[in-house]
Amino acid sequence: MLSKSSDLAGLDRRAQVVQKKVIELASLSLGRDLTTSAMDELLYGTQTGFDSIALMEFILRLEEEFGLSIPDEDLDPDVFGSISTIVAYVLHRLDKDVPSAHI
Amino acid sequence: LRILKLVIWDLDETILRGILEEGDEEINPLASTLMQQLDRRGILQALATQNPPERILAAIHQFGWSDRFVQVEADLGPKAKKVKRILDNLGVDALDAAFVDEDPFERDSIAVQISGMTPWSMADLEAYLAGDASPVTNEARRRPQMYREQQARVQGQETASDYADFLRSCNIQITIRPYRPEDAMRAEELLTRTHRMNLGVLSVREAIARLSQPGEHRVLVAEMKDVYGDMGRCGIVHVTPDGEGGVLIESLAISCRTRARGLSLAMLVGLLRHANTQFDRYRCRYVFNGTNRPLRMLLMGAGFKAQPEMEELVLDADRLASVELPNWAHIGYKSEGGEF
Repeated sequence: MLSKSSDLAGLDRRAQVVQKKVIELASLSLGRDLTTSAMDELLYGTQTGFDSIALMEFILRLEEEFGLSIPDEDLDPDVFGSISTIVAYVLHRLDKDVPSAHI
Repeated sequence: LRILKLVIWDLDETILRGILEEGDEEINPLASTLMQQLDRRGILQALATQNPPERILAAIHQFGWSDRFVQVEADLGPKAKKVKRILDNLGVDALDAAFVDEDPFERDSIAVQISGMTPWSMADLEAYLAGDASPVTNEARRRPQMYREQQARVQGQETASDYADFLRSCNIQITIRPYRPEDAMRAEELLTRTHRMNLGVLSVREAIARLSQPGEHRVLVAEMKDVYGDMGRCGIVHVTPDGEGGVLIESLAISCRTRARGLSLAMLVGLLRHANTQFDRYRCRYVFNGTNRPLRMLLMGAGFKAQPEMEELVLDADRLASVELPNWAHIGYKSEGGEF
C-alpha cells in the first residue's frame, strides 16, 4: 500500500530523507515551494501541477538523485500522482530491486 | 540534420561581403536570395555575430531586416555561446538547425562545440534548399511570425505578477474539429516535424496513407489561438474503433507550439473528448523515439495506465472525464456541420 503523509511522520530517518529530497526536487521542477502539508496534493491534471515537460524533468532528477532507472511501465498516474505516492514508490524501489540505488 | 527548422547566420563575410565595422555594407547576393527562400518556406532565421549590439541594431534597421531574424545575438563573446542561447530560447533542437558561415574554421568550431548542429557554407544551404520538396503550409509560412508572437507572450509573462493570471488574460482558445482533406499537408508536417509529442508507432508515410483510407477510423484536428496570434493546427489524433467499445490510437502528434503550462494536456484531452472520439476505452502503444518521453508523461497526465500483458497504455472513459483541465484554456468543439 502507498503511504500517506500521516504515516510518514512516524517513519524512519531514511524515509524522511527521501521525502525531503522528493519535495525539494518537485519544488524545483514546479517552480514553487512545496511543503510537507502538500504531501497528498495532486501533482498534475490540476491548475498548479506539473505539465509534461516539468514532469519529465522531475523524473530525470529523481533518477539522478536516487540512482534509479524508472522504466516506462512504472509511469503510472497513481504512482506519480502526489508526493506521498512518489515517496512510497522511491522507498519501494530502494528496498526491493535496485541494488545500485543510493540516497 | 533531421529537418531544417532554423538557420543561424553569421554576418561578417557571410551575409555581408565584408566586415560591418570596417564599413563594408554590401550584402552578398547569394545570401539575399537564400534568406528570401527561407522566408518563403517559413524556416526561422537568427543572427549570431560578434559585432557590437548597437551597431547591429542600426544595421538591421538600415537593411530592413526587422521581421527577418527571430533572434539576434550580438556581442564579443564566443560564437558557440550565442548559437546555444538562440537554440535554447527558440526551443529548437540542434538536430533541426544549421549554422551558416563562410569561414570553415567557424563551422568546424561550432560542429565541435554543439553536438548535432549542422555547419554549412552558403553553397551547402543552397544545395539543401534546391533538393528540399517539403510541403509549405499556412502554418509553415507564418512560423517566423508565430515565434515573434511567442516572444511577445514570454515578455508578457515576465512582466506579469502571476503566471496563471497571465495565462487567463491570454484568452487561449482551442478548437477541436474533424479532419478535412485540406488538412493533409499540415497533418504530414505535424507528424514529421513533431518529435517530443509524437506517438510514432507508424511511419509518417503509413500514418498519412491511413488518414485517407476508407473505414471506421476517426481523425480529429486541434487548432489554437490566443490574444497574441493564431497558432493554427497544432494537434492531430487518429483513432480506429476496436469493435469492443474501445478505440486504438494510431497516430498522435501535438506541436511544441503548445508550450505554456497545461495546454498539451488540454489539447490531448480535448481531442479524446470530441463527440467523434467518445468511446469506453482508449488504447495506444508508445514507442520511444529518443525524444518523445514528454508524450509518455502527457499520456500519464491524461490518466493512461500501462498494461504490461498487452504492451499498451489504456485510459478508461470515466478517468478521461475526470481529468481537470487548466481554466485558462477554453476548448470548443466543432462537428462537420458546425459547432456543438
